[in-house]
Amino acid sequence: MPAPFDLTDDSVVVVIGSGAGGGTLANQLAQKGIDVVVLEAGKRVEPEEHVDDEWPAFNQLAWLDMRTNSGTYRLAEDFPNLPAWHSKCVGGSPVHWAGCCPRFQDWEFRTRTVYGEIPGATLLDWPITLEELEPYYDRAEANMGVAGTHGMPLHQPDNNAKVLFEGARRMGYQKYSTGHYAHNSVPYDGRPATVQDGFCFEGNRSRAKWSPLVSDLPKGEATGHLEVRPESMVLRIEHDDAGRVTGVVYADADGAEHLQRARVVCVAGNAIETPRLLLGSASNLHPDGLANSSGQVGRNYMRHMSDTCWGVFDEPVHFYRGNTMAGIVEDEAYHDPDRGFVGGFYMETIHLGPAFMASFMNPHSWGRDFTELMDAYENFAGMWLVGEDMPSATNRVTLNPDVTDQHGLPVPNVHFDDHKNDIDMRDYAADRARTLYQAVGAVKTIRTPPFPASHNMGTARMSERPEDGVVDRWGRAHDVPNLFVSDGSVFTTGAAANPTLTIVALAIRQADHIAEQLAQQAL
Amino acid sequence: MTTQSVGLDGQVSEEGGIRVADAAVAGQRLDTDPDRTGGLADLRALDQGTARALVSMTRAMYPHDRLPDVHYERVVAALDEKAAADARMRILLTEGVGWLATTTGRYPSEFGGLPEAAQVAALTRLQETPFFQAVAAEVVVNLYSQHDVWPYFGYEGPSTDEGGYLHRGFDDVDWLDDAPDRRDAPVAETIGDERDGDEARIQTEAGQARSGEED
Ligand SMILES: Cc1cc2nc3c(=O)[nH]c(=O)nc-3n(C[C@H](O)[C@H](O)[C@H](O)COP(=O)(O)OP(=O)(O)OC[C@H]3O[C@@H](n4cnc5c(N)ncnc54)[C@H](O)[C@@H]3O)c2cc1C
Repeated sequence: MPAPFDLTDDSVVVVIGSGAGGGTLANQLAQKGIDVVVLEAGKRVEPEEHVDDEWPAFNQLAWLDMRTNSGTYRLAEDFPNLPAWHSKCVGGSPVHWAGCCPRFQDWEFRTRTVYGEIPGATLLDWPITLEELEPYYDRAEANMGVAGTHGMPLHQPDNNAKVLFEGARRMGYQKYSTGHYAHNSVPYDGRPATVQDGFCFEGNRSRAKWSPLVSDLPKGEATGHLEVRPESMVLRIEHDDAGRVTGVVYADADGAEHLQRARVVCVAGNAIETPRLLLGSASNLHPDGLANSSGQVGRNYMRHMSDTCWGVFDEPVHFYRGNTMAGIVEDEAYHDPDRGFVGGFYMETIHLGPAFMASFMNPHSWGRDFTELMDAYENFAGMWLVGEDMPSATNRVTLNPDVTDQHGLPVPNVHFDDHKNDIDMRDYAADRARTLYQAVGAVKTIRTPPFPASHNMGTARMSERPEDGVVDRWGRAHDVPNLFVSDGSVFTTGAAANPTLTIVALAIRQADHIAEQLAQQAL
Repeated sequence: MTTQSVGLDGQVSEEGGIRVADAAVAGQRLDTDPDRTGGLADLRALDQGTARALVSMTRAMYPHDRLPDVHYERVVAALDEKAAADARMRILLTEGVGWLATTTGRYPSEFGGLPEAAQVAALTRLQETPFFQAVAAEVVVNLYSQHDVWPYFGYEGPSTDEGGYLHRGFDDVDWLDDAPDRRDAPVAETIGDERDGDEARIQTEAGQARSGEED
């Protein structure tokens, strides 16, 4: 039967969330002739409707439902209701994203072995290896269109990247480039080449930037096997007495509730909503939350070591002209405990417009100290520092019984304390960044505290043994045979790399596995 | 508030910290009402004196000498709109301007004429109050989102409809070869310190900023 599918059709695969994980998975399944219903909480905002303006775009695309924040990290104070920055729209956070696509390095799948036991951290080796994932990395890059891979040329460096490169050169770094970037440098896959518009974080009116909105979802829909239902917020997942999931209850735009039956359910709501949904689907059979016999659902929440350095120069940079993050230094992405911490980090260009700069540069700051910096805006260059952070059992997403959202559900609370390793890496990275900008003539530098997390990971982690995590090597729940997790929640550890390429590679791999299992009537 | 609500119903707003969802709504309001002139002619909740004092106060908090008053007036007009929609906001702003008067020992209308040091001293005493923080949050989001302030910062804004920056200088920086190496020079550093939420530590000497252990 061609899409749209009936609510009572229990032969469909239901995918919750249409972002990097869900959108990719849904299309891969549809391409194989498998019927899929994607339930997406957000609206469908086509690229033509995107706006080159930060707050309006944020309001149009971001997840603004109520959340709470606790713990000792600075963000809990600066942004008490915004622990994370991700999307609520068809296509998910890649509609907001920049497009940096580094792969994990081989040892980053084995950090428990390589780093050893670290107090306060719950390191665990992934149940899969780089070698196993490599073919899927290839397919992910080809699917997204990643500059610098598979014959797509690297981007031309913009002003911000040129400053970064010259600083890197003077520092003696070797590995700096515009990097693997999922934004067309030349026309590809029916989408045009970049116009260096500078509004990657605000959607992308031209469609040059990859997201499921402009790529996977329309492709999947064209097969007749995929239906995307926007403004459909899944409230809970249901199961039968045998412990198999049978469908999901969701609220439509008017708040009316519906039950969509399903043969298989795949959760891809990003690493805060995914555990929230599992915890909120507790039942007699699963008293601590669905698929949570390990107690690991919501734990080991990772957000990446994050710091930002702005360099202020004698002369204009106009760093806002050009692709937001096409500029990367990879020299610091290695593991050497002699640096005083484990794991590595990347330096990546970043720019913000005056509106976001004012909000994020130094929250709470005011007076001439603040405005003199803003007045120098045109002379700014900027880099974001992103590195591996430690999973910890107590950094976790829980349900906050005291606060409910518009659906009457308890909101997620994100508790986070910076691990000592994160702080040490951050201080080291910040010093490298500052030195790099000084090397190319910075007259001032500014150190910006972590933003609301754009990289959310680990809250339904993959593990060999059921007691150590929530899902197996395919992303299938240890406790529930026909329930999968298909987003960044499955990361066993976070590596230094921006996560999305890995999320997409895992989703493609998972689609192959689900299709195989369906064919064998094993699901 | 005359904004389109985006599922924010029932949200609690906490004191301290910028409530980014509010910020987003403020941003949207600007976007949907581009004709706002910033005039304080038709205030809905605040009286002229209070509004004028707030204009002086917002300028003193975020002083950009090149910016004409109209940009600060728009911020106050937005605060007025919030005060019209929420009595608590009206009381907060009215009382707050009262505190300003108490703190300075001057009528609110005189605040703008005080020496900058006196303004800053008063504001510093008030900076932890919900009044100050509500005003600060509005300025930070509203002032820097006004499209016609962007030229003062050298920012050119929306670009896609102009063909992006591809042919408009995306890679025109040309001074890099001559840029001095300042690794050993005193270079100021502003640190938004993540370990205590206090005001930024401003350090003006490289020696101070990069202490021995960091080197
Ligand atoms: C500004 C920004 C820049 C970024 N830049 C980069 C980058 O350069 N490189 C990189 O690798 N990553 C980047 N990221 C991160 C990247 O976008 C995410 O890692 C990635 O999209 C996560 O994929 P996901 O499938 O886990 O979730 P998402 O892509 O966030 O998709 C989750 C979707 O699920 C929906 N959803 C959630 N709960 C429910 C529910 N109960 N019912 C129905 N729908 C639901 C949400 O609305 C959302 O659309 C960036 C993110 C942001 C915000």
